[in-house]
Amino acid sequence: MTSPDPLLEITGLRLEAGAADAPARLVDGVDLAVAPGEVVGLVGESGSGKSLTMRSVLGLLPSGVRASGGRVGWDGEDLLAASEPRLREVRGGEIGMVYQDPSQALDPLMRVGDHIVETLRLHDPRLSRRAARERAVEALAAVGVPDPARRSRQYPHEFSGGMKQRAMIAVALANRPRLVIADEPTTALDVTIQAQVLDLLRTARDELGTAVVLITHDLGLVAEIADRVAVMYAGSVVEVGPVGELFSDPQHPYTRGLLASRPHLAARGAALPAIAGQPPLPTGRPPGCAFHPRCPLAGDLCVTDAPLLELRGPDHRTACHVPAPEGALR
Amino acid sequence: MPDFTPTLTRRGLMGLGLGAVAAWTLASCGTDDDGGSGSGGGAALSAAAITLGSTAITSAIDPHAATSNVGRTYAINVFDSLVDFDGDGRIVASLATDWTRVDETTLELTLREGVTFHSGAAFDAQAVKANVERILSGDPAYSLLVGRLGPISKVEVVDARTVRVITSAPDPILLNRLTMIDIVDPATIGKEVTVETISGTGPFKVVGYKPDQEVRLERYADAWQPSESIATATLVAISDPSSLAIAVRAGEVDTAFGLAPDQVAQLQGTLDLETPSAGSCAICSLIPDAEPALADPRVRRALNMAINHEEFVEVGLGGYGEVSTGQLLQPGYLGYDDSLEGFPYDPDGAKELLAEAGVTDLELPIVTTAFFKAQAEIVVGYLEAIGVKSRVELQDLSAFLGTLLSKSEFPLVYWQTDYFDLQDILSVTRFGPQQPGTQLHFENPRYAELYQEATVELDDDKRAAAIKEMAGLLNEEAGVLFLGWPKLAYVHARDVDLLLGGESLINLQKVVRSA
Amino acid sequence: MSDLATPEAVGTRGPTAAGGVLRSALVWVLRLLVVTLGILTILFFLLRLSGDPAAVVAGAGATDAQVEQVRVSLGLDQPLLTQYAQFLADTARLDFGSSLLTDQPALGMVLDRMPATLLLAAITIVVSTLIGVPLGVLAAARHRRTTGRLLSLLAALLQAVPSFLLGILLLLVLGLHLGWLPTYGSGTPVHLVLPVATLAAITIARIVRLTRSGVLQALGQEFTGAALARGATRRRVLWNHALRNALVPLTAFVTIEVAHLISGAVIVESLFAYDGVGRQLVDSIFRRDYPVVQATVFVIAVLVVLISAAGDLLLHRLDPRMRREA
Repeated sequence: MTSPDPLLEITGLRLEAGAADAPARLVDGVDLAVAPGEVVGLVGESGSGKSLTMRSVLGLLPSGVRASGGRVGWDGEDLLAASEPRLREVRGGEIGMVYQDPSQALDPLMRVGDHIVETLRLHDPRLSRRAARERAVEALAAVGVPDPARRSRQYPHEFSGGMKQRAMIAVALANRPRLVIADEPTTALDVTIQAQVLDLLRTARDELGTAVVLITHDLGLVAEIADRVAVMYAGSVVEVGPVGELFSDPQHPYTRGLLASRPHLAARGAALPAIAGQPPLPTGRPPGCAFHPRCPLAGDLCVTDAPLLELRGPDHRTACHVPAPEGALR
Repeated sequence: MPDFTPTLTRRGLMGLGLGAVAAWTLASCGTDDDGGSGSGGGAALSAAAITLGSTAITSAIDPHAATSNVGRTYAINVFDSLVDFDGDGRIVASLATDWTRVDETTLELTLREGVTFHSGAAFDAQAVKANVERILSGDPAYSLLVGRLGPISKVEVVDARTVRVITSAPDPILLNRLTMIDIVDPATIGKEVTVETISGTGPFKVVGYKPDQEVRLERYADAWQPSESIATATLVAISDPSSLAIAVRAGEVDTAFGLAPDQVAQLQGTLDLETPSAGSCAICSLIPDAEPALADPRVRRALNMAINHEEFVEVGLGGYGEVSTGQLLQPGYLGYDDSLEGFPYDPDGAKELLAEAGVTDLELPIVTTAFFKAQAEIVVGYLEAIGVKSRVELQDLSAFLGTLLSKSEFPLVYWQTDYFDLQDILSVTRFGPQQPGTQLHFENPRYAELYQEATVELDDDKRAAAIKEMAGLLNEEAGVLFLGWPKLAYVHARDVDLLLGGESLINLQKVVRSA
Repeated sequence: MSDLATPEAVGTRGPTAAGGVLRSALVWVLRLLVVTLGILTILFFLLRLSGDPAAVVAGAGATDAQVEQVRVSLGLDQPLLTQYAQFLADTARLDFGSSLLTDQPALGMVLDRMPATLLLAAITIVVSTLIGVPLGVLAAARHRRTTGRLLSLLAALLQAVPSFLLGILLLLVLGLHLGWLPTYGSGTPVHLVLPVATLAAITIARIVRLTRSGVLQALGQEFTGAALARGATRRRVLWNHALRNALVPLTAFVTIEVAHLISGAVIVESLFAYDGVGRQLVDSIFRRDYPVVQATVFVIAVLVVLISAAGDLLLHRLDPRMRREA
């Protein structure tokens, strides 16, 4: 259930790049809400705009990409219109970020503990170095880094991949943010570590009440940890709903295709069904529904009108012109 | 007097490379200069300072150890010799006031009274003996000087005011040679040479020395030839000619010498110029050893006829020179033959001569040092105009000395036959007898004979005749490629009067600086 | 849940640390010896096979016999290998003999001028770094705007200007036309301005470009974005994170540049008649004054090895990744 006061409410977000008269539309009208303490999975292929959407929340878009419309509501205020000092307060303070590749996301010349110290002191200038260092050690301990006092003084290259990711989570959680954006946090890690990372996120939600937006292309992860799921395709959300609902009753043809293409242990030897075709380039978005060239159910309306998200079930929205037949594609 | 050949290679290398830049930049700011404000017509100062700049200074403060003639400017101001040359090339008294020839190999000289060294010690006959003995002692540091001394073998003290100089063979230019022996305080002989210990009898004493950088001199009040106007002098070395030119224009250097002709021309607008003769002849030696066609006198004559001498002096020497009359010596030197004429400029005649000699496709590269590159290039131009292929080959100093003095792989060698130091044809040892195995530059037995004669003939008239005959041979046979008689260029501030009087070295005690 | 120990997780502390320091020191000394000896050997043979100092010492007017006499007295008539053996023995005792031309002790001549060259090098590097690094950061921070592009262009142009051309222009403008600075010599601080300016111009240009590219590279990496995401200001990210990382390649460059400056900025020294080692070296080479050339090269080689060791040490301190055992 979405609470009446969402923590994060993105409406009609548009992001574009390139020339103003012929822009590449990277995100074309995204609506997304996150309630306090909820885990939302944001799923989509590379290039679907999921990362960009969340980066725009923090005002950390890559150079050349700009917001051309929409609103990012954070606790009532529009972060797209926020000043840089306000955004700095939010970054690391109210919203934390966990990156995909911890080897890249940690400063190689800075001790691991000092990353935490930095974010602590940036948000509380009165905090002494000493106190901050102690809290950094505690933060590392909390995420399960062994021998945290010694480890805190070490450099990133001395940590293993899994430990680095834990450290990054510690950094993201240091100031007890109300939301953590985890951008493909397990993609660069092996499977055994994945479980541990997910555990940490779950713990954060359970013990700190932190909401999580988990950006991933891995439906399995979403199934494990998310409360709700939003599926993005070619820059917009095509389906969003509670995880159980969406997995058992996918409404959008794209979602169905995604679910169908997951490898099953039971279906060994059979060809893996795939969705024919490729997602469109941001510069070449087809008119109407972006998915229509690949959609087996595409009709005339799909070619001309872009569908909007419509409620199709309990808290379950889909952007599609075609009403789903009951139990048709599983 | 500065010798061009040895030290100017490096600066030449950079200087000529920078010449174009410097010429352009200096030209573009040639007229707006505000330096050199001296009126030149003010009253003479009695305690003036002066800075002399050149691309190199003496390599040692011990005059006997100098390795080239670059050191002469320093030496003549701090030391004296027994006799000296005046502006007309005549021998005049210096530390010796009188002399008579005792016999063929002995010259007796009477020494000046009341002369003291900077240290206060008195100058006497013992000093002269000690100096000559030191030079002839065999220490390789003095080898340059030993070469100049020739047959001088020892000095005998007759009494405190009289010495006898003995030569191993009759030496007609003994007095000339004596001008090259700087008398140092004998008390310093054998000791380490420092600014404190070095002392001479000259009008200035050394008060500071930074090797290869500067020498600072101060007036010696008790000199027998005291300096009236200049009290302190600094000789500085600025190895880059463009920087030297700029320093002169900025007024940081009062007098400069050793600049390239085009730079001198630039500076002429704002500064004064004195151009004494350099006492040398610019030539290209012709080496039949390296190119057999050069053995034919017609070919050699043809080459001489290819040169436009006026143009060469104008362009190659920057106008600071004279067209030669086909001989090495300039007018005024013993043995100058005024009946000789230079080769005419006749490129067509040259081509005909070459054809007559049956020479086709002749290739004559010219080897020289970087300092003479521009001049050599001009010669290349003249040669190519008569159908001879040519180019310039550069060698650095050390290699070039070998090429010049023992063996050249190249048929033409551009150099200058300096004879200003001894003021006599015998200075040009390259054309005299050589060690067996050394390449000869002019192979003519009669010439060699005459050279030997001139070496020992004491009678001036007979000697002159021999030298004239030598010149005649060289001219007839076109033994070398005659190019011109260069002049030196001294650029100086307007309020400084160098009063060279024809001499090619600056005697600071004669210089007058006005207010 | 404990992490399985992986090779990356092993720290640098351990029983081999002390042994490592000793080993590095030994390696360094060995390097010093090998480099110096190697350079001197090559130099020895190059010098002797390329020209003859006897002719220069004897002078242009000397006869063949005199030149030969000089050659014998200088010991140059000995077989080459004998000379080399003697040379090795002398070098071990730091005896470089006396200048063939001025008879002064060769090592003394070099050491006399070394401070001047070192001073020039030191000031040049300090000035260049102080000016170049901030400009480089600025160029990186504003790399898409006019300021940044202009800085980049200027740096590229300045790097392309030959030092002697720049030197002469500075000499003309500042020395002659404006008369602010002396046109030649050394000794007072004012004499350093033009040589330093000429040398620094090019070094600054290189530092600007290197800093800019280092900073831009760092900015393109995830960790600078991650720092922003932690709440850092852009300025902090630029100076504390990006620049610090860019300092690693920069340090390597500066080390090389110092070594290069120490070997004597010959052109600049000659142009301004600055009494340094470079000028003397070139003069000696042309005059085939072997002892001075050998002594100079020896001193320079030692200094360069020292400097590169210092540079390595600095890098070690700067970049923790370098502190790992091989």
